[in-house]
Amino acid sequence: MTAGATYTPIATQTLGSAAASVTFSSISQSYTDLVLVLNAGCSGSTEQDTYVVINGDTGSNYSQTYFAGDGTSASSGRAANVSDATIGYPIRPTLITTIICNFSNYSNSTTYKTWLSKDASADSLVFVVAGLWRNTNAITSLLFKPSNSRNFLTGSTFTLYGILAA
Amino acid sequence: MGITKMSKVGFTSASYLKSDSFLVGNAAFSPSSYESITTTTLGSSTSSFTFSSIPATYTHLQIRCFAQVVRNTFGIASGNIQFNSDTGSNYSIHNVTGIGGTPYASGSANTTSVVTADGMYGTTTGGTFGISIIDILDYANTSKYKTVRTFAGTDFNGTLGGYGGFVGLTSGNWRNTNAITSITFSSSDGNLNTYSSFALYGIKG
Repeated sequence: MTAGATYTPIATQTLGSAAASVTFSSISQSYTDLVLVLNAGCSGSTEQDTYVVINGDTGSNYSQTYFAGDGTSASSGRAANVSDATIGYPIRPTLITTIICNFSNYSNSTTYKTWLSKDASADSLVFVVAGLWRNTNAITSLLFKPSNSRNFLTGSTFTLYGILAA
Repeated sequence: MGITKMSKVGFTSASYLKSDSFLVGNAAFSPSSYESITTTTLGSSTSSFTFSSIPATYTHLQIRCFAQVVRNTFGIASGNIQFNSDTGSNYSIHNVTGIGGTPYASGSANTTSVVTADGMYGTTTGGTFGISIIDILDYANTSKYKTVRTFAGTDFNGTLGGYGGFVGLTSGNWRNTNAITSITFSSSDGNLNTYSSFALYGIKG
């Protein structure tokens, strides 16, 4: 009944210097789901979003619904027809954020692509988001960047895993 | 004399790494605790789907769903999960949910399923599929009630019928000490649609 082990690291990037973005390109189409594990901080003096750009698409083809708790209150919101696709908030200059983002059925060419992400930023916020890319193309590249042209800090790590369903 | 057993006992971790494929013709030893058990993609619309005869050889289960419900008006649909075909009032749940406006929390006791709030599934009207990641810890244990947690979300670019997308977390409890051998998925909002996929994974302890 079983098909064996899966949850395979595809690629890892550890920044040796600050970078405005990190890209995984030529992503293998051999898996069912992708999981990004991000552990990063960013430059500047204010908290930023972490955005994803799929297959280089910078058009207003994304939307999202989020939910957050800051230790005192909970909030939720949505955005439609946006080019800024959030997988996490906040990323901060001095505190490291951890994001685990799931891209389901990323290689099919029939459905729009959806992601489901959790972000835990120490001493700040817990944030979850469901996002949509209105495109049926298979995902072949993922670019991640802080909002407002900030840089990811040196030492930030990004690992992309593939999960293959039986 | 044929080799009947291989063991890493006696190797240091460094030398073991150098030796993990030393038998000519053998695949490299690649340990992993996360295994794919089975997957189903629905070929037609159906009221429910069941994983049956689940092996008890793992410590935890994870189900990754990418699914849609046939539903008019709204872009999200709730999910229902039952174990071992138990349709009695032996479940309880708590949800915390974001729907784009005021977040809310809810809970119910003595339910007939684990109800994963509103947005485990996308809908045919919204045109999208929802993601849900469901963890069932210690599912084969016969001494404890079973606990399930879900992380689910759907977005469909705006609102339909006055409601937008959904993202939320659910905890559920099944008041039964039997090992879980089957899991049934359905939705009180409509049939599960074609192309919905349910992937079952086992995690070793």
